[in-house]
Amino acid sequence: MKTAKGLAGWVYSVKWITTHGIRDFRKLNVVAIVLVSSSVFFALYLAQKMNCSLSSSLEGFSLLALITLVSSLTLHHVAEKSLKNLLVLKVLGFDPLTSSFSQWLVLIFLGITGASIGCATFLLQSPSSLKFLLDSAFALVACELLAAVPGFVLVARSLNKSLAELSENA
Amino acid sequence: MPEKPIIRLIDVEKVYRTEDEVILIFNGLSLDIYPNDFLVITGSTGSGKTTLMNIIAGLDRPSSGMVLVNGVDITKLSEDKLSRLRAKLMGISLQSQSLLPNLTVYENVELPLIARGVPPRKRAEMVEQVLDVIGLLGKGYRRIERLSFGERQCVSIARALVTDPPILVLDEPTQHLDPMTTEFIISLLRGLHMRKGKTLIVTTRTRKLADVATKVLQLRKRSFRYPASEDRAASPRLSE
Repeated sequence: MKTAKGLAGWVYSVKWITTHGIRDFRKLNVVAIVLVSSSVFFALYLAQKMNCSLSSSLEGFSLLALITLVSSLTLHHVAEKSLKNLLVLKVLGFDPLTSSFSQWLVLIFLGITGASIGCATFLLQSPSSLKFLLDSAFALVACELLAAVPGFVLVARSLNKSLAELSENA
Repeated sequence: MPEKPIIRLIDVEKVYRTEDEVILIFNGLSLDIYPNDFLVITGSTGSGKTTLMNIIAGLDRPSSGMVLVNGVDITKLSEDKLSRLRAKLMGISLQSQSLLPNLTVYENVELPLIARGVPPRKRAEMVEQVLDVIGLLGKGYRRIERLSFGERQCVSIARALVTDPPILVLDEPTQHLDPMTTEFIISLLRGLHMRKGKTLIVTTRTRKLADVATKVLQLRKRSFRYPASEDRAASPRLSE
Protein backbone atom coordinates (compact mmCIF):
# COMPACT_ATOMS: atom_id res chain seq x y z
CA MET A 1 0.00 0.00 0.00
CA LYS A 2 2.79 2.36 1.02
CA THR A 3 4.81 1.42 -2.09
CA ALA A 4 1.79 1.97 -4.37
CA LYS A 5 1.19 5.36 -2.76
CA GLY A 6 4.88 6.25 -3.14
CA LEU A 7 4.84 5.17 -6.79
CA ALA A 8 1.69 7.19 -7.47
CA GLY A 9 3.37 10.23 -5.88
CA TRP A 10 6.51 9.71 -7.95
CA VAL A 11 4.51 9.35 -11.17
CA TYR A 12 2.67 12.56 -10.31
CA SER A 13 5.96 14.39 -9.71
CA VAL A 14 7.32 13.21 -13.08
CA LYS A 15 4.06 14.18 -14.80
CA TRP A 16 4.10 17.62 -13.17
CA ILE A 17 7.72 18.45 -14.02
CA THR A 18 7.34 17.14 -17.59
CA THR A 19 4.11 19.02 -18.25
CA HIS A 20 5.47 22.27 -16.83
CA GLY A 21 8.82 21.82 -18.59
CA ILE A 22 6.89 21.81 -21.86
CA ARG A 23 4.25 24.40 -20.93
CA ASP A 24 6.28 27.02 -19.08
CA PHE A 25 9.01 27.58 -21.67
CA ARG A 26 6.69 27.91 -24.64
CA LYS A 27 8.82 30.24 -26.78
CA LEU A 28 12.07 28.41 -26.10
CA ASN A 29 10.47 25.04 -26.81
CA VAL A 30 8.91 26.24 -30.07
CA VAL A 31 12.31 27.54 -31.23
CA ALA A 32 13.91 24.20 -30.27
CA ILE A 33 11.27 22.24 -32.22
CA VAL A 34 11.71 24.51 -35.26
CA LEU A 35 15.52 24.05 -35.19
CA VAL A 36 15.32 20.26 -34.85
CA SER A 37 12.62 19.91 -37.51
CA SER A 38 14.57 22.11 -39.96
CA SER A 39 17.75 20.08 -39.52
CA VAL A 40 15.82 16.82 -40.02
CA PHE A 41 14.04 18.18 -43.10
CA PHE A 42 17.26 19.38 -44.75
CA ALA A 43 19.09 16.13 -43.91
CA LEU A 44 16.28 14.10 -45.51
CA TYR A 45 16.15 16.46 -48.49
CA LEU A 46 19.92 16.23 -49.04
CA ALA A 47 19.94 12.45 -48.60
CA GLN A 48 17.24 12.11 -51.22
CA LYS A 49 19.04 14.45 -53.60
CA MET A 50 22.26 12.47 -53.15
CA ASN A 51 20.24 9.28 -53.54
CA CYS A 52 21.63 7.74 -50.35
CA SER A 53 19.98 6.07 -47.39
CA LEU A 54 20.37 7.81 -44.03
CA SER A 55 21.06 4.58 -42.18
CA SER A 56 23.31 2.64 -44.54
CA SER A 57 25.78 4.93 -46.27
CA LEU A 58 28.70 7.09 -45.26
CA GLU A 59 26.98 10.26 -46.51
CA GLY A 60 23.86 9.23 -44.60
CA PHE A 61 25.83 8.75 -41.38
CA SER A 62 27.40 12.19 -41.82
CA LEU A 63 23.94 13.72 -42.16
CA LEU A 64 22.76 11.80 -39.07
CA ALA A 65 25.78 13.13 -37.17
CA LEU A 66 24.83 16.65 -38.25
CA ILE A 67 21.22 16.17 -37.06
CA THR A 68 22.48 14.82 -33.72
CA LEU A 69 24.83 17.77 -33.31
CA VAL A 70 22.15 20.40 -34.03
CA SER A 71 19.60 18.62 -31.81
CA SER A 72 21.98 18.07 -28.91
CA LEU A 73 23.13 21.72 -28.91
CA THR A 74 19.51 22.88 -29.04
CA LEU A 75 18.31 20.51 -26.31
CA HIS A 76 21.35 21.32 -24.14
CA HIS A 77 20.35 24.99 -24.31
CA VAL A 78 16.77 24.11 -23.31
CA ALA A 79 18.10 22.07 -20.37
CA GLU A 80 20.34 24.97 -19.30
CA LYS A 81 17.37 27.37 -19.31
CA SER A 82 15.19 25.06 -17.24
CA LEU A 83 17.89 24.50 -14.62
CA LYS A 84 16.87 27.46 -12.44
CA ASN A 85 13.35 26.11 -12.01
CA LEU A 86 14.65 22.63 -11.30
CA LEU A 87 16.94 24.01 -8.59
CA VAL A 88 13.94 25.67 -6.92
CA LEU A 89 12.13 22.34 -7.03
CA LYS A 90 15.15 20.72 -5.40
CA VAL A 91 15.02 23.18 -2.49
CA LEU A 92 11.34 22.30 -2.07
CA GLY A 93 12.06 18.58 -1.77
CA PHE A 94 11.91 17.19 -5.33
CA ASP A 95 14.76 14.72 -5.53
CA PRO A 96 17.38 15.34 -8.26
CA LEU A 97 16.91 11.89 -9.81
CA THR A 98 13.19 12.45 -10.45
CA SER A 99 13.82 15.96 -11.78
CA SER A 100 16.64 14.83 -14.12
CA PHE A 101 14.56 11.94 -15.44
CA SER A 102 11.55 14.23 -16.02
CA GLN A 103 13.72 16.79 -17.81
CA TRP A 104 15.11 14.01 -20.01
CA LEU A 105 11.52 13.15 -20.97
CA VAL A 106 10.94 16.82 -21.86
CA LEU A 107 14.05 16.84 -24.07
CA ILE A 108 13.03 13.58 -25.77
CA PHE A 109 9.56 14.98 -26.37
CA LEU A 110 11.03 18.10 -28.00
CA GLY A 111 13.48 16.07 -30.11
CA ILE A 112 10.91 13.54 -31.31
CA THR A 113 8.29 16.25 -31.99
CA GLY A 114 10.86 18.25 -33.98
CA ALA A 115 11.91 15.16 -35.95
CA SER A 116 8.26 14.21 -36.64
CA ILE A 117 7.47 17.70 -37.93
CA GLY A 118 10.61 17.60 -40.10
CA CYS A 119 9.54 14.22 -41.52
CA ALA A 120 5.94 15.37 -42.08
CA THR A 121 7.14 18.49 -43.92
CA PHE A 122 9.45 16.36 -46.03
CA LEU A 123 6.58 14.00 -46.86
CA LEU A 124 4.33 16.90 -47.83
CA GLN A 125 7.01 18.22 -50.14
CA SER A 126 7.71 14.79 -51.62
CA PRO A 127 4.70 12.45 -51.11
CA SER A 128 6.27 9.55 -52.98
CA SER A 129 9.15 9.27 -50.47
CA LEU A 130 7.27 7.37 -47.77
CA LYS A 131 9.42 4.23 -48.13
CA PHE A 132 12.65 6.28 -47.99
CA LEU A 133 11.33 8.01 -44.90
CA LEU A 134 10.33 4.78 -43.18
CA ASP A 135 13.82 3.38 -43.81
CA SER A 136 15.31 6.38 -42.00
CA ALA A 137 12.77 6.61 -39.16
CA PHE A 138 14.58 4.30 -36.76
CA ALA A 139 17.90 6.11 -37.23
CA LEU A 140 16.22 9.50 -36.68
CA VAL A 141 14.58 8.36 -33.43
CA ALA A 142 17.92 6.97 -32.23
CA CYS A 143 19.58 10.33 -33.07
CA GLU A 144 17.03 12.28 -31.03
CA LEU A 145 17.34 9.93 -28.04
CA LEU A 146 21.11 10.37 -28.19
CA ALA A 147 20.79 14.14 -28.60
CA ALA A 148 18.83 14.38 -25.34
CA VAL A 149 21.72 12.84 -23.36
CA PRO A 150 24.01 15.93 -22.98
CA GLY A 151 21.09 18.01 -21.65
CA PHE A 152 20.18 15.23 -19.24
CA VAL A 153 23.79 14.93 -18.05
CA LEU A 154 23.97 18.71 -17.48
CA VAL A 155 20.80 18.66 -15.37
CA ALA A 156 21.74 15.52 -13.43
CA ARG A 157 25.25 16.84 -12.65
CA SER A 158 24.02 20.29 -11.65
CA LEU A 159 21.26 18.96 -9.41
CA ASN A 160 23.73 16.71 -7.67
CA LYS A 161 25.82 19.67 -6.54
CA SER A 162 24.97 21.86 -3.60
CA LEU A 163 23.54 25.29 -4.46
CA ALA A 164 26.63 27.06 -3.12
CA GLU A 165 28.91 24.87 -5.21
CA LEU A 166 26.87 25.79 -8.29
CA SER A 167 27.05 29.52 -7.64
CA GLU A 168 30.80 29.25 -6.90
CA ASN A 169 31.32 27.56 -10.28
CA ALA A 170 29.13 30.14 -11.99
CA MET B 1 14.89 12.84 30.41
CA PRO B 2 16.25 16.00 28.77
CA GLU B 3 15.06 16.67 25.21
CA LYS B 4 17.48 15.90 22.38
CA PRO B 5 18.45 18.68 19.97
CA ILE B 6 16.64 18.44 16.64
CA ILE B 7 19.63 20.11 14.94
CA ARG B 8 23.25 20.06 16.12
CA LEU B 9 26.16 21.89 14.59
CA ILE B 10 29.52 20.59 15.76
CA ASP B 11 32.69 22.57 15.10
CA VAL B 12 31.43 23.81 11.74
CA GLU B 13 33.76 25.72 9.45
CA LYS B 14 32.98 27.36 6.13
CA VAL B 15 35.57 28.67 3.72
CA TYR B 16 35.19 29.82 0.13
CA ARG B 17 38.12 29.21 -2.16
CA THR B 18 39.01 31.24 -5.21
CA GLU B 19 42.12 30.85 -7.33
CA ASP B 20 44.15 33.39 -5.35
CA GLU B 21 42.61 33.44 -1.89
CA VAL B 22 40.71 31.55 0.71
CA ILE B 23 37.90 33.38 2.52
CA LEU B 24 37.10 32.10 5.96
CA ILE B 25 33.45 32.89 6.79
CA PHE B 26 33.29 31.19 10.20
CA ASN B 27 34.88 28.33 12.05
CA GLY B 28 34.55 26.46 15.33
CA LEU B 29 30.80 27.06 15.28
CA SER B 30 28.85 24.71 17.54
CA LEU B 31 25.14 25.08 18.18
CA ASP B 32 22.24 23.01 19.52
CA ILE B 33 18.70 23.72 18.34
CA TYR B 34 15.96 22.02 20.32
CA PRO B 35 12.36 21.29 19.24
CA ASN B 36 10.22 24.43 19.65
CA ASP B 37 13.24 26.74 19.69
CA PHE B 38 12.82 30.07 17.95
CA LEU B 39 16.36 30.85 16.80
CA VAL B 40 17.13 34.15 15.18
CA ILE B 41 20.45 34.45 13.38
CA THR B 42 21.32 38.09 13.13
CA GLY B 43 24.23 40.16 11.86
CA SER B 44 25.18 42.66 9.20
CA THR B 45 25.37 41.96 5.45
CA GLY B 46 28.16 39.52 4.66
CA SER B 47 28.39 38.13 8.19
CA GLY B 48 27.48 34.63 6.96
CA LYS B 49 23.81 34.42 8.07
CA THR B 50 22.54 33.00 4.80
CA THR B 51 25.54 30.67 4.51
CA LEU B 52 24.82 29.30 7.97
CA MET B 53 21.11 28.93 7.18
CA ASN B 54 21.93 27.13 3.94
CA ILE B 55 24.22 24.75 5.83
CA ILE B 56 21.48 24.01 8.38
CA ALA B 57 18.98 23.35 5.57
CA GLY B 58 21.43 21.13 3.68
CA LEU B 59 21.58 23.55 0.74
CA ASP B 60 25.29 24.08 1.30
CA ARG B 61 27.93 21.87 2.87
CA PRO B 62 30.37 23.02 5.54
CA SER B 63 34.07 22.83 4.75
CA SER B 64 34.48 20.79 7.93
CA GLY B 65 32.47 19.83 10.99
CA MET B 66 29.17 17.99 11.42
CA VAL B 67 25.54 19.01 11.03
CA LEU B 68 23.14 16.56 12.66
CA VAL B 69 19.43 16.78 11.84
CA ASN B 70 17.37 14.32 13.89
CA GLY B 71 20.63 12.56 14.70
CA VAL B 72 21.66 12.12 11.04
CA ASP B 73 24.85 13.79 9.80
CA ILE B 74 23.52 15.58 6.72
CA THR B 75 26.98 16.57 5.50
CA LYS B 76 27.43 12.95 4.39
CA LEU B 77 24.06 12.56 2.66
CA SER B 78 23.64 12.49 -1.12
CA GLU B 79 21.62 15.30 -2.75
CA ASP B 80 18.71 12.86 -3.30
CA LYS B 81 18.59 11.95 0.39
CA LEU B 82 18.95 15.61 1.36
CA SER B 83 15.95 16.52 -0.82
CA ARG B 84 13.86 13.80 0.79
CA LEU B 85 14.93 14.96 4.26
CA ARG B 86 13.97 18.56 3.43
CA ALA B 87 10.60 17.42 2.06
CA LYS B 88 9.92 15.49 5.28
CA LEU B 89 11.21 17.88 7.94
CA MET B 90 11.66 21.40 6.64
CA GLY B 91 9.77 24.30 5.18
CA ILE B 92 12.19 26.71 3.54
CA SER B 93 11.77 30.30 2.41
CA LEU B 94 14.83 31.73 0.68
CA GLN B 95 15.90 35.38 0.59
CA SER B 96 15.45 35.47 -3.20
CA GLN B 97 11.94 34.00 -2.63
CA SER B 98 12.61 31.61 -5.53
CA LEU B 99 9.01 31.49 -6.66
CA LEU B 100 8.29 30.24 -10.16
CA PRO B 101 7.06 33.36 -12.02
CA ASN B 102 5.06 31.47 -14.66
CA LEU B 103 2.91 29.77 -12.05
CA THR B 104 0.02 31.10 -10.02
CA VAL B 105 0.11 31.63 -6.26
CA TYR B 106 -1.82 28.39 -5.79
CA GLU B 107 0.55 26.37 -8.02
CA ASN B 108 3.63 27.76 -6.24
CA VAL B 109 2.28 26.94 -2.80
CA GLU B 110 1.26 23.46 -3.99
CA LEU B 111 4.81 22.47 -5.05
CA PRO B 112 6.15 20.98 -1.77
CA LEU B 113 2.99 18.87 -1.52
CA ILE B 114 3.62 17.44 -4.99
CA ALA B 115 7.19 16.61 -3.93
CA ARG B 116 5.70 14.73 -0.98
CA GLY B 117 3.23 12.82 -3.16
CA VAL B 118 0.10 14.24 -1.48
CA PRO B 119 -3.06 13.34 -3.49
CA PRO B 120 -4.72 16.24 -5.43
CA ARG B 121 -7.86 16.60 -3.28
CA LYS B 122 -5.90 16.71 -0.05
CA ARG B 123 -3.48 19.17 -1.68
CA ALA B 124 -6.27 21.60 -2.57
CA GLU B 125 -7.51 21.50 1.02
CA MET B 126 -4.04 22.16 2.47
CA VAL B 127 -3.25 24.99 0.04
CA GLU B 128 -6.57 26.75 0.75
CA GLN B 129 -5.95 26.44 4.46
CA VAL B 130 -2.47 27.97 4.36
CA LEU B 131 -3.53 30.75 1.96
CA ASP B 132 -6.26 31.62 4.44
CA VAL B 133 -3.75 31.78 7.32
CA ILE B 134 -1.38 34.01 5.38
CA GLY B 135 -4.16 36.29 4.12
CA LEU B 136 -3.95 35.34 0.45
CA LEU B 137 -7.25 33.47 0.12
CA GLY B 138 -8.92 34.61 -3.09
CA LYS B 139 -5.55 35.45 -4.70
CA GLY B 140 -4.62 31.86 -5.51
CA TYR B 141 -5.30 32.30 -9.23
CA ARG B 142 -2.98 35.32 -9.59
CA ARG B 143 0.38 34.98 -11.31
CA ILE B 144 3.47 35.66 -9.22
CA GLU B 145 4.74 38.34 -11.60
CA ARG B 146 1.61 40.40 -10.85
CA LEU B 147 2.10 40.44 -7.07
CA SER B 148 3.79 43.11 -4.96
CA PHE B 149 7.09 42.26 -3.23
CA GLY B 150 5.33 41.90 0.14
CA GLU B 151 2.72 39.55 -1.32
CA ARG B 152 5.47 37.45 -2.91
CA GLN B 153 7.18 37.20 0.44
CA CYS B 154 3.91 35.97 1.95
CA VAL B 155 3.58 33.36 -0.83
CA SER B 156 7.12 32.19 -0.13
CA ILE B 157 6.27 31.80 3.58
CA ALA B 158 2.95 30.07 2.72
CA ARG B 159 4.90 27.60 0.60
CA ALA B 160 7.23 26.89 3.53
CA LEU B 161 4.23 26.30 5.82
CA VAL B 162 2.00 24.24 3.55
CA THR B 163 3.37 20.81 4.47
CA ASP B 164 3.10 21.63 8.18
CA PRO B 165 6.81 20.77 8.72
CA PRO B 166 8.30 20.58 12.23
CA ILE B 167 11.20 22.89 11.23
CA LEU B 168 10.84 26.23 9.46
CA VAL B 169 13.91 27.83 7.93
CA LEU B 170 13.29 31.40 6.78
CA ASP B 171 15.92 33.68 5.28
CA GLU B 172 15.17 37.37 5.93
CA PRO B 173 11.35 36.94 5.94
CA THR B 174 10.72 40.61 6.74
CA GLN B 175 13.28 42.15 4.39
CA HIS B 176 11.91 45.05 2.27
CA LEU B 177 8.45 44.73 3.79
CA ASP B 178 6.30 47.64 4.94
CA PRO B 179 5.81 47.98 8.72
CA MET B 180 2.28 46.51 8.64
CA THR B 181 3.28 43.38 6.73
CA THR B 182 6.37 43.05 8.95
CA GLU B 183 4.15 43.09 12.06
CA PHE B 184 1.85 40.52 10.46
CA ILE B 185 4.75 38.17 9.62
CA ILE B 186 6.25 38.52 13.11
CA SER B 187 2.94 37.72 14.81
CA LEU B 188 2.43 34.79 12.43
CA LEU B 189 5.86 33.37 13.30
CA ARG B 190 5.20 33.90 17.00
CA GLY B 191 1.92 32.01 16.68
CA LEU B 192 3.61 29.15 14.86
CA HIS B 193 6.20 28.92 17.61
CA MET B 194 3.90 29.30 20.60
CA ARG B 195 0.69 27.61 19.49
CA LYS B 196 1.93 25.06 16.96
CA GLY B 197 5.25 24.24 18.64
CA LYS B 198 7.32 24.69 15.48
CA THR B 199 11.08 24.99 15.51
CA LEU B 200 11.95 28.23 13.76
CA ILE B 201 15.31 29.24 12.34
CA VAL B 202 15.15 32.76 10.98
CA THR B 203 17.83 35.10 9.69
CA THR B 204 17.32 38.82 9.97
CA ARG B 205 19.12 42.16 10.12
CA THR B 206 16.45 43.84 12.20
CA ARG B 207 15.97 43.84 15.98
CA LYS B 208 12.21 43.25 15.84
CA LEU B 209 12.42 39.54 15.13
CA ALA B 210 15.25 39.06 17.59
CA ASP B 211 12.99 40.50 20.32
CA VAL B 212 10.46 37.67 19.99
CA ALA B 213 13.01 34.85 19.61
CA THR B 214 13.99 32.39 22.34
CA LYS B 215 17.60 32.24 21.12
CA VAL B 216 19.64 34.82 19.24
CA LEU B 217 22.87 34.06 17.44
CA GLN B 218 24.77 37.22 16.57
CA LEU B 219 27.22 36.79 13.71
CA ARG B 220 29.83 39.46 13.22
CA LYS B 221 31.31 40.37 9.89
CA ARG B 222 34.87 39.29 10.31
CA SER B 223 35.53 36.98 7.41
CA PHE B 224 39.24 36.55 6.98
CA ARG B 225 41.04 36.35 3.65
CA TYR B 226 44.43 34.88 3.09
CA PRO B 227 46.35 33.78 -0.03
CA ALA B 228 45.46 30.30 -1.22
CA SER B 229 49.10 29.26 -0.90
CA GLU B 230 49.39 30.26 2.78
CA ASP B 231 49.37 27.66 5.51
CA ARG B 232 45.83 27.47 6.96
CA ALA B 233 47.15 26.65 10.42
CA ALA B 234 48.31 30.24 10.70
CA SER B 235 44.78 31.62 10.33
CA PRO B 236 43.01 32.95 13.39
CA ARG B 237 40.22 30.89 14.91
CA LEU B 238 36.87 32.60 14.72
CA SER B 239 34.33 31.28 17.14
CA GLU B 240 30.93 32.50 18.21
